Amino acid sequence: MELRQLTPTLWEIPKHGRMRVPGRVYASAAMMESIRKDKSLEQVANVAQLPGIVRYSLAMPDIHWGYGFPIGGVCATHAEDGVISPGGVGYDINCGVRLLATGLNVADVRPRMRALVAELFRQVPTGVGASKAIPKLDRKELRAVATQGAGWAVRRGFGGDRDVDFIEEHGCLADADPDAVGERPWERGADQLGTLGSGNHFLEIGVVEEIHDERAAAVFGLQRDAVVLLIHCGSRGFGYQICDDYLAVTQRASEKYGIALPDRQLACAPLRSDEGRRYLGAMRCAANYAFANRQIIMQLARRAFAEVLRRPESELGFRLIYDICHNIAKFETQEVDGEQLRVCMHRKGATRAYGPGNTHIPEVYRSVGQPVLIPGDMGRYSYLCVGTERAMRETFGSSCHGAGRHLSRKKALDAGKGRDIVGELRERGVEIQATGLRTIAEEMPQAYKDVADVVGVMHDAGISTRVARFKPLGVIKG
Amino acid sequence: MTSLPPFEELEHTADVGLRVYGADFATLCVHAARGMTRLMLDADIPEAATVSESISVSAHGHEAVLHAWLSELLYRCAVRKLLPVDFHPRNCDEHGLSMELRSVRVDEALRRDMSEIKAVTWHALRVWREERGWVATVIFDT
Repeated sequence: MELRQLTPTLWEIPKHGRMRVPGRVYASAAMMESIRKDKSLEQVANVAQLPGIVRYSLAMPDIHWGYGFPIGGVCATHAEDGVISPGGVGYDINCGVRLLATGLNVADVRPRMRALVAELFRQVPTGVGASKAIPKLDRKELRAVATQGAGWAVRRGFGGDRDVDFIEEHGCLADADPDAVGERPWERGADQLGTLGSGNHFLEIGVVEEIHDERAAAVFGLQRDAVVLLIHCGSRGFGYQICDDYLAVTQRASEKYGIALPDRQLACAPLRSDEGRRYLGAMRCAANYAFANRQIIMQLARRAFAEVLRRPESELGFRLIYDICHNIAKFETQEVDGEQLRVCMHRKGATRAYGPGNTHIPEVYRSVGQPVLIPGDMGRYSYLCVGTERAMRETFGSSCHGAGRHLSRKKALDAGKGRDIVGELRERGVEIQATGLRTIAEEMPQAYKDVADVVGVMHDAGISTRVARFKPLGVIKG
Repeated sequence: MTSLPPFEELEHTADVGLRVYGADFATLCVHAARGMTRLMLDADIPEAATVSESISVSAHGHEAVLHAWLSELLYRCAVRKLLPVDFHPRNCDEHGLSMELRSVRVDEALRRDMSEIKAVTWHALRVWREERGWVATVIFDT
């Protein structure tokens, strides 16, 4: 595939074949060597074929081979004549990350780390089919979750009223339509609220080990050696089933509306069609379920800290810094060629990264930009960055979402054979507890690329800039 | 589940996949299901299967039938906590399949050894015939 290097961190796939717009990929030259080896660039070109796509099919530097869309893919489709694609959101609808500040210092928690991790593991169900963090909900309550999102959880005593001000879209996508959700998603979601799940999802206790931007860090209330919590999870089986159900619907819609597809996973429907509207309504229900899920997990974590440290929760200084989606489709107004254009933003393994002054981000953050949360692996570090004006011009206000895998799960398991990964992490100062030993091997640090490289490309490109780096101290996983 | 089923794992960096073989389409569907079970539980499966039932799915085309079949098993595993281990096809063609199967209940001990498959994707889903029989590729979201 032809690829032109435009800058040290930006590459273009020229329009060819059925592509309606060019593809653009943010990556270093070294990264591009690796990216070229899988099918992700082909997937960038495939996305460029979607009807109504605006400007570019974009990919962030954590791009890797997905299904339909590449992971790290960003695409805006025109609200009037564009399409919506469930594959551009993914199965784990509104998978996302939440960052929580505490009033604690590393010295306060280090001696109690093993007990903290054990208590978090006890309070927050993890692993395949994890359930029963809270009593099973009846259908009426589930519908309330699906339409109210994080606010539902706050009203049930999980967190405080101000929390929703620090969540993308205030923790609730409007116009969620529970009647567009089939029977099976409700069944799969009934007992999974407040659970982490499996795979790469985690809850992490971290410490601020480096401040890159003193001014922005001060705005977010972070200092060196401060303890933070990171939560990474999504909409669990509720979202997986909605995506699966609507891939069937949109495959039929693609045929009905005469949309030629290079990959059936790119199935889509016109945004203004009945099929498109119903998917949007159902997808928003799953997004709201995920917001509520992270809100509940955050509160369970707060309780775990209070119990282990034997101090009232109110004395521990918990404060939600931000919560962002990285698998989502939303209507946004973007400036395109000097005009304000209503588009449907698909971010598949990509994060919103609005710049300073944007009215969609909390007022107290507007001087520095939206927090962009980029988790790495469980042995090295994660980053807090901020969105920029340049992101608004170049990437529809979007940035990367994580490190991306370096080894397949199979290769990671092979690499982990005969090793004590838990012991190795403990030697590096990371206490870990997981439901299955297999997960620990699959998710070991060397299975992932170095997230610093990914963050570095976005920083050098001026899309999202570094604020702080967190080192993990304790992790629970599926 | 004592003999090795004829499937092999495909390399996919972010997710997992299978290449599956079968003398006929029915056998291909059985082997695909065994492969998926193996991806979810790479350990000895308890011999004592506890639940027997029949499943029927319908779809248009071999690939859609295979997708519907595997998705049905994932749904049952998620909601009814049943891991399928033994399969006997009744009818199986490009319009649908009927299968008798036995499953083990996923208790807490078994759950700890399992890996999650979120869904059967349509990406790279192919079913085709060769001289030696039927072949399929399937990528799962994990």
